[in-house]
Amino acid sequence: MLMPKRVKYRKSQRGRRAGKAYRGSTIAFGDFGLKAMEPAWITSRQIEACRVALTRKMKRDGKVWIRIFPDKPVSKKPLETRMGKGKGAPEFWVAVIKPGRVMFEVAGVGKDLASEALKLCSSKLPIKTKVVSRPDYE
Amino acid sequence: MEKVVLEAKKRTKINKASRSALRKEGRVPAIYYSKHHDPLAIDLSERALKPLVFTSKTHLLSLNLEGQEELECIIKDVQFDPVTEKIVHVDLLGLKKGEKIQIEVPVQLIGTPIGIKEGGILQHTLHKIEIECLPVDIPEHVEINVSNLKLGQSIHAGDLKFDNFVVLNSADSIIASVTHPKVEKEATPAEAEGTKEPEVITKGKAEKEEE
Repeated sequence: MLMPKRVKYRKSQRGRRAGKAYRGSTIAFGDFGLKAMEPAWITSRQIEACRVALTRKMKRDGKVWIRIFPDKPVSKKPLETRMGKGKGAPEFWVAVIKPGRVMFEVAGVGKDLASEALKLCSSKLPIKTKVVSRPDYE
Repeated sequence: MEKVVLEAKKRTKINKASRSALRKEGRVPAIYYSKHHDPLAIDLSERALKPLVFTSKTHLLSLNLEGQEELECIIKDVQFDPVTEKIVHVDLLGLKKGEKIQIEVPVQLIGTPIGIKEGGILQHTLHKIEIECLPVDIPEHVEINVSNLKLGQSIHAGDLKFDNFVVLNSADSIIASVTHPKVEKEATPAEAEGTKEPEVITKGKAEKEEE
């Protein structure tokens, strides 16, 4: 599963996810993409589930790009622990997603198969999404 | 190349509120600029603009400014809303006869590469290339024949030679290639678990300890 190789700090604060994704909001590599319509933390497990769904649906045809990377550690305290005694241990990694972000891209397959695969991928995510294509795709 | 006449209105109020009001009315704020003309804040009809933006062709525009002036231009840049994907703003670059301009034109691949029959996948990497040419020579799109591409071969921007225009992209940028299909590796259980923690960069601390 995706996670950074080296980090400067083991734990991070939660931060804010207000606003729209002004960067990474257009299709850069493929012909079709899956765009987030809501803000969310997408975990590395969800990204992996999406990747598997996409590659299985598209079989050996086409190419898939993952445009997001889970670089934010999320910590959790163990069960039945009293509050205090410091921050919990890092449990999993998430990518911070804002509305408008293109998360996955595909190319080399037809419109029907691409949208089917991306809808399947969308069902693995906890947010509303939409399938988009390049503005000059005909 | 197809020439399209666009009706435009001058914008007198230049502020956020007026731009938002225009967008609600179905108009798109735009700017016209050129070396020989002062920048003009204008607005265009969204309905007329859509077929010119969501296409794989380049158009030459003739801007009809409230029936007073007629300006030749091209679409230089388009801004979209990240969520709704509506056109938010358009940049129009004015043209002058005999003066070269730099413009991005769409690339269309023609033919089926030999490499696909050998089991390869055609990858179209660069969908637009930047060219320098006279306004008269602007092509609708650039057609590139890929039928001779074998498995593992690619077409670079440096390979393209045209009579009417010069390609400005770096010579080694890949436009299309036929690659081997990637075989997915099954993740090992340790990788799948994700139990490994990343290495923490402790450069500062290590230096201090040495001192």
